[in-house]
This record gives sequence, structure tokens and C-alpha cells, in this order.
Amino acid sequence: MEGRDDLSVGDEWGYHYRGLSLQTSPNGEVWWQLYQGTDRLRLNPAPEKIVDRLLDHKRIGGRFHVTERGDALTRVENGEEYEQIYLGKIDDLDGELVPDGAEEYSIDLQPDGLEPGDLWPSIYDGSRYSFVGDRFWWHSGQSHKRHPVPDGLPTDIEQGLQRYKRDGGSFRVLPWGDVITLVPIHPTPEKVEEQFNELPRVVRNIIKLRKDRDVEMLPVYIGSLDDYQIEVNDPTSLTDKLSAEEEESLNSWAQNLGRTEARSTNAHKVGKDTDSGDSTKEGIESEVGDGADEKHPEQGESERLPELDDDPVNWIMRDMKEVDGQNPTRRDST
Amino acid sequence: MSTQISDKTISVPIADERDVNIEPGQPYPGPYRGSQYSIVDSRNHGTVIEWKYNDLVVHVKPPSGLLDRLQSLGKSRGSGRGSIRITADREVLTKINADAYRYSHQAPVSSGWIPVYLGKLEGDLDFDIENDPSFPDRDLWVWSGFTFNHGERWSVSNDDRLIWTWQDYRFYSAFEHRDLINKYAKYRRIAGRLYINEYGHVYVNVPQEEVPPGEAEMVEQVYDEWRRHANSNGKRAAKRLVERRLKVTGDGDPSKGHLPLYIGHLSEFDDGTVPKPVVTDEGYYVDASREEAGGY
Repeated sequence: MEGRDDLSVGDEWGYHYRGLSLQTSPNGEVWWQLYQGTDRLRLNPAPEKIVDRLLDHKRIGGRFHVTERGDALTRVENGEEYEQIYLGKIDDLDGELVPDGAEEYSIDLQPDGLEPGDLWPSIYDGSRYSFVGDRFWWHSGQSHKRHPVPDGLPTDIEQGLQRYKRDGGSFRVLPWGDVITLVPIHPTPEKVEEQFNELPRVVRNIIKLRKDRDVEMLPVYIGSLDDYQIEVNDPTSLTDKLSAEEEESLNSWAQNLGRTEARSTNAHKVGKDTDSGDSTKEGIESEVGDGADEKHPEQGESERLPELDDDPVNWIMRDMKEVDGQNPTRRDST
Repeated sequence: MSTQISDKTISVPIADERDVNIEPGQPYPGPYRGSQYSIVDSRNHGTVIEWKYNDLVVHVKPPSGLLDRLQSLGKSRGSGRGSIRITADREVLTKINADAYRYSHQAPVSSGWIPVYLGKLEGDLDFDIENDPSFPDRDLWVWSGFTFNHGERWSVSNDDRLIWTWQDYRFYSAFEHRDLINKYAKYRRIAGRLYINEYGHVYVNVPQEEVPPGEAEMVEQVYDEWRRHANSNGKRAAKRLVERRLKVTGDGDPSKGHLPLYIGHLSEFDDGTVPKPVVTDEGYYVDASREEAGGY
């Protein structure tokens, strides 16, 4: 369990690195930047205490993240390595996001009065997690490994996510516990369509930017974690000790051995045509079961999980690859 | 021996009983297939070659020369990252987008994702997994190398030939493989797959209920022996790979899963002939060119 009670400001952050991404300038201004673009939204008021601490470590400012528990984190260059630093806790991150020179179009960082399923009328950001069915995880951009969330999420949040993303995908958790995700624009429930027209102009423009990338997705509010804390385990390593359940799995195969039937010579073959009937029927059934991977070759067998590509960070990474073609590893990404 | 990508010209069987010589960098006219790995950047280890199955991930240093070759051929806009395949004959393949690939005009389909031969793998990818085991006294053993995304996947046809399939395409091996098929048939009562990895090792999936009478006892004995061996030697990765395979092929119930059973090395069968599928339907090239990673 994350023990931030034991952490002091400036200590190394040894837990999974994630959170709402904000940037600060040397003069203490804080802003949220539109996906890899130049447009930015200034946060007013800025969380001054955290900004001062960040500037102690990074004199020219830089990026910091705020986890779903309100922990502020940053990465500091240390020789050739980057060190993850704990900057303290922000209990009341709130305020307005103000477009440059257009204060009248400001939006709330922390919108309220929303019902689950409502469109999210603010920026799409926060700690990023993923799920398929009832399996949840955090994906490390450093190790490429999945860190399981063994206890999952509260039932209402799980059900909300499963309802809007039947095949699974990623979602975000904001520092005050709100859970949001992106859903395809089509088909759009009538209620959502009405809400879309009522969204702040800035939010509609962000959505439009996604649409320009051929990713027509709308941000939807799923609910709040309230006091629930997401716990993340270390990723499975091939060489970890096997759990009792895994050991039992290995035992169970042998225990069941012994159900045999007479040999069917004809059935030793796979039919040339899958609909060719008689002697190959049995074989075809087996082939389908055996070769379940064929339909989803990328993932192998039937325990496949989809390649999740439903989050702006994916698109940013792709853009970076396209731009420099060299180094896609974001040193300060979530 | 250090692991590297060699410059060997290969001979690829094509239609009409002919072979074509292919040099490194040229389009590959055979089916795109084999063990699946990716070239990725790891913050801790630089550029690595990765095997992955869901949450299971292993990285090692790429073979010498591989990244340079991928970059010089324009893979992933020159970054060299992305997925590769290694066939049972150790041919290293990748797909390169025609927009960035200088030999696209030589390919059967000159747009989309073109399969390219990069060179032959020499030496071992040192994953510290039993992908190239040595069992001098064994006729049968449990396969505990990578049990997913590993090896060429073959079936046995009605006329006792090996057949390679993808989507609706079915391509025969250019050769006969009687010994191999006989060995395979011993442990499968009905049809199934066999897998051949880049070191020439062959394993099959054995569902319990399909073990032929007379062999069940032997399979059980081998499985018990393997478990004792794995337990007493602390073979955690091997056990985990087998356990996961049982669970996945048993649709969540490992007791109903398919045991990956090692049946031997290609050198033990048919004078060491390596199965090679021949593309006999050019529609395959069109469909395979639509996917960066597919076609195998």
C-alpha cells in the first residue's frame, strides 16, 4: 500500500507514477497543455505551495502530476537518470482553466453536479488505468508491464465502465476521485447529444481535435471513487514463485487425465475445407478450439486482451514517433 | 557464439515447384509467420527485443545487426521499432510500409505492409527460457519454452501433409513430413495444431480427452516426471508458462486445458526437412499487406 504518510517532501516516489498532468513556468504560472499542441489553459488559482516546491527542484519549471489521491509528483533529472520526487499533497486542487486571452471561455477544472453518464465538461486527464471485464491494471510506460489492481474498483464504477466500454479500455481518475472515460461518438444516446451542444466551447474544441485525428470520442463522467483507494500490485514476473492457485492448476491437469476414447484414425487429420463434413467434423471442432489464436493472432490464445488505443497519450506517443522517429519514450509521461 | 543477424541468401519455395533466392532486405514471398517478438524502447535497458503475452513480458538485448538493418530498411519511419517474426528455418522477417520501403516494387503487392526478409538468426536469443532445450534421452517431454506467440503453427491435412493456415488461406508445405506427422498422430486422437519454433523444436497441444488409449499412461508419466523435475529445480518460469497455457486453452479451467507436449526436434524427422508453406493464392499477399502484424 502506498504509504505517503511516511514520505516527506523531496523524497523519492517509489510507487507507480501517474496523475493529472500540469506544467509550471519559472514565474509560478500553472497550466494544462492541449495534447502536444501549443494551446494551453492556465489554472487559476495555481497550487502555490506545490509550485514553490517544484521550483526548488526545477528552477525553470516543468511538468508535475497529481495522482488520484492528491499526491503531487515530478521527475527530476539526475545525471542520466530521472528521479521521481514526491512534492506533497494537494487537498483542494480546483479552480478555472483559462484560455490565453479569452477568459470568458474559462472552464471548471472540477465540474460538479454531474450524474453518471453525463458528458464531462472539462479536460480529459488524470491517473490512467485500464480494464477488460473485471480485470484492472496500470500500464507502466517504463517497463511495458501491467501492474494488476487486484481488488478492482467499487462495483458502481466497474459497472459504469463496463456499460460504456463493453470491450474494455482505459479510463482516468482525477485527483478528487472522479472517474472519466472516452466513449465513441456513435452511437450517441439522445441525452448525450443534447449535452454536447451545451458543453463549453473549449471542451468542444478539444473533442474536435480528437475528431481531426479520426478518433471520435466523447468524455463521459462515470462516477466518483469517494474514499476508495486503488491499490496496485507489482507486475507478474515469469520467475515469481507460483501462487497456490497456479500450483493447483498444474496438479489439476494430471488429476483429470484418464478419460479416453477409442482411436479414430480418420480423425487424425484436419480437413482441407472447413465445411467438408464427415470424417473431418470432429477434427475441425478441435482445430477451432485449439487454434483460437488464429482469429486474434496478435494476442495469441483466447485469453487475449485488446490492444487499447483509446486515450490521448497513445496519440501523442504516435505523433512523437512520427515527428522525430527516434525516441518515443516519454520521460515524464503517465 | 554471439547472437547476430547474418547476410545469408535464402531459398523460398514458391508456386509451380520452384524456389526463389531472396537476399536480406528483399520482399519475402512466403507466408509471414513464426515466433513473434517486438523491438521496443525500455527506459531501463535501451532498445530491447521483447516477448509478450498479456501481463507476461521478457526483454533481452537484440541480436547484433538487427536494429541497424531494420532502421536502414525504413521500418517504422526509420526507428526500427515494431514487430518481427522468426520462422522455423530462423529467417527473421518484418513488415515495412511500402511508403518507406525502397524495394516495394519487387513485392507481389507494392502497397501496404510488405513482408521483408532481414537475415538469418545466428545464435540464441538469450531469454533464459527453455526455448532450445536439450533432452538427449527423451522421446517426449512437456514443452516449457514460450507457450504463446511462439513458433510456426501447422495442421495436418487429409492427405497427410502439413498445412499452414491464415484466415481462409491454406497452404501446403512444399515437402513431405511423414515421420513428423506419425509422431504427432501418436498423441492426438483428433486433429490439432503443431508448433515449430526457430530452433526446430516441435510441440503439440494435447487435450486430456484426446490422448489416445495406450498413450495416456505415458503422457501422465511424463507430466508427473516433468512436474517433479520443475519443482526440484525451481523452474518457476517453465511452470508458469505451462500453467498459463493450460488455463487459457481450458477456457479458464486448467484441468480441461491442452498440455503443450514436446515431441522432438526437426532433425529427428524426415531427414531434418523444415516445413515450408508455399503461397498458391496471390490473394494472400493482398490480404496480408493490409495488416502490419498479421498474415501469419
